[in-house]
Amino acid sequence: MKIIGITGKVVEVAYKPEYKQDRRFYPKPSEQANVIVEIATDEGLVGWGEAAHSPGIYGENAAQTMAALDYFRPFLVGRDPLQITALNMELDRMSPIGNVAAKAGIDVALHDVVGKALGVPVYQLLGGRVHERLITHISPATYEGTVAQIERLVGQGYRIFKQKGSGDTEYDLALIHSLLDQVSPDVTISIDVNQGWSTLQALRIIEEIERRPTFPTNLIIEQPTRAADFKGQAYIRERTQIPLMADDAIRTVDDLEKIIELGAADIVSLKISRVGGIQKCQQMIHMAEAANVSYIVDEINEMRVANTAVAHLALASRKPLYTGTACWTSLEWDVVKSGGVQLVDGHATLPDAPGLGIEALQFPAEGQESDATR
Amino acid sequence: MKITDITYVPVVVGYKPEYQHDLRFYPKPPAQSNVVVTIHTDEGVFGIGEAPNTPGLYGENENHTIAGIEYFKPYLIGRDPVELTALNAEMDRLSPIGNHAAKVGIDMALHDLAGKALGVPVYQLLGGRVHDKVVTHISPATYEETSAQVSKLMAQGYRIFKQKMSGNTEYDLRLVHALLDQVPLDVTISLDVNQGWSTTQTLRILGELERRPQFPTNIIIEQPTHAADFAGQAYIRRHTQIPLLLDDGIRTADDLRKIFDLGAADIVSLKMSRVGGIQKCRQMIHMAEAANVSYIVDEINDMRIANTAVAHLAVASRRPLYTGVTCHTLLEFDIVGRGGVQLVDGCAIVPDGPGLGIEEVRYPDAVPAGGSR
Repeated sequence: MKIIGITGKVVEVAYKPEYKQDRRFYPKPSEQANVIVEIATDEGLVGWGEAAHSPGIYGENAAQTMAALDYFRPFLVGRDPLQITALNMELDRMSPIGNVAAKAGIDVALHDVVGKALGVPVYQLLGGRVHERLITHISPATYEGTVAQIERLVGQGYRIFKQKGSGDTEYDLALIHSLLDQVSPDVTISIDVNQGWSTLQALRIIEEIERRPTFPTNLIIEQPTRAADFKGQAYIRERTQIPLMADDAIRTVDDLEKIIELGAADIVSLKISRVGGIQKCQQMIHMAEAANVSYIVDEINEMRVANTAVAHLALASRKPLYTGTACWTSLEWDVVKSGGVQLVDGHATLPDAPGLGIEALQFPAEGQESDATR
Repeated sequence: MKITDITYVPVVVGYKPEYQHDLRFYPKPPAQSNVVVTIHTDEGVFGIGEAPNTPGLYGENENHTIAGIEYFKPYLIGRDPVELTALNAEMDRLSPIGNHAAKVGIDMALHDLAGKALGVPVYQLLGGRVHDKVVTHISPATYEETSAQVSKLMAQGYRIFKQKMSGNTEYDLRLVHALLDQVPLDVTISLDVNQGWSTTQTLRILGELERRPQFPTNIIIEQPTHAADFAGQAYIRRHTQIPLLLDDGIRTADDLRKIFDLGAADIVSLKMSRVGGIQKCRQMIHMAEAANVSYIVDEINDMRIANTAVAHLAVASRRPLYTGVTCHTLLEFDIVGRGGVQLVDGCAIVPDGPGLGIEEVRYPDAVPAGGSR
């Protein structure tokens, strides 16, 4: 089998209205787009992937990913897609750093096409299914309706919330207190600050929360301070019993090694879309397991193609604390028409179909073709 | 698909005569056996694996392994064999440490079975083929005929020799000088001491080798001292430019982390037969790649079943420095009748058939007591 084409289609990541007024610190450009990658083969099989962007954190956007697809294409066309590792090496040779989203999109599409060629789900390419289903977090917007939104989501079965912080001490403390007052202790809240606090601010906020009448055992603090300040995070971690999760800075295995060496995190968030694909993310999972550090198999600004890939990796991993495959439900448009990851009672489940198990894609109307191809 | 039974046959690892009077430091019990594992399913497909034992290093022999398989068996029967990670996790739950060889045999047989069930070679379960062939080392015996044996092997195309050391300073220095005088610079010799030297003895020997008229750029020093003395090995490494390869002390991911933390090795030897199977070995490869430490995908007392599995992992790995899949050629009896890893011009080649690509396993005439097929 040979790769005969690699194409990309830019699709706007349109968050639902409540996320437009979101107070999160995390900088979201008003218009953000991901790229749906399609790999076509001479045997008629196609593989789909998604290059997800978070320009407000990493600077990469859809136009750059399209440029990267053009850059990589000549080196991949004519190659056998079954050679997933070899093709990842080729991408790394062409671009030892950078082009992370494009690499992720291509790697996911390779896994999809290989799964289809062999007649097995992607999780089988990753060692087979370990979990029938896995609990997923979901991110309510950070606005005046947060508490009501969480109530609704709890009603739907969700038990883990990634709640974005605003960066403002008073606002965030008020929000955390109200959430902790509202939810039962078996509901976990990860306060995702996306680097919005200073070290001192983080310590001040954590101290106040620790002095609540009941110690908040259902709270996680996620990426409170500047991404690359691992030492600062190790310092924070020594001073609190609330679990600390590292996230934004983990782009390469070297980042993860440093975090592990410094003891800078209780939990690491490992994201296909941020580290350059399924293979690299599985390598990081292996590293976290070797270091006995907890991990979540997570999403970032993803539509349902990437969310489905995340679910495959999560279900094939030994002990993910939980996963994150709910981002697509925050969007106006679902790019997956049929198949893909399903959310049932706050859990991610997958079809047993070949590849990612995505049967058909659909794109927003405005002049765009309705099928994924060409 | 469901696992219906796991059977096993212990097979004597009979080294050829020259290896019987081998002066290697490495302690070899007179009779040594590996265990060939077969996993049977309700669909008739079966998988073959090999549990190699190295009692002189790790204390595990075929009886331990058989007891380990019997211990695991009830927890695996009825399970779906394509759930490779879940079944490995189950074995680790039952035996967080220990039973390495039993885990190896079962994990290997599961991969063979999953490959056959899906109609793909094992390397495809590991991310696909990266290399058409990988250069392999081979171990000449350590005896009066070593030089002649090395010459014969060079003529067959071998370019990397894992030469066992005796532990005796004078003998080993004489042997290494003779080999360095004999081979061209494009032939690599890894001096595998198997922990036979002390730290000071190592520095004394390395010092003498470094002062040869030409610096020996083609030697590697392998596991010179006590397996667990990573700090001592880091010290040795800082005092020589000859690459240091660590081997015997790597049984778990924690061992490997300590080596990396201490900067104790230039190269690590990663052996599925020592670390508990293909999956665990691949995890270690991922760790070595992350730490930017060179690695070889290696064998230990393997017959051709395990050698074949090693070759699958090696051709699916990004950058193994080389592999080791020739142990089966040192044995009197080849357990593989047809198929399996092939050696051409000093390189390992794996077949493209489903699973391990082993078409026929044959056993020596006398199956030892207690064996079952």
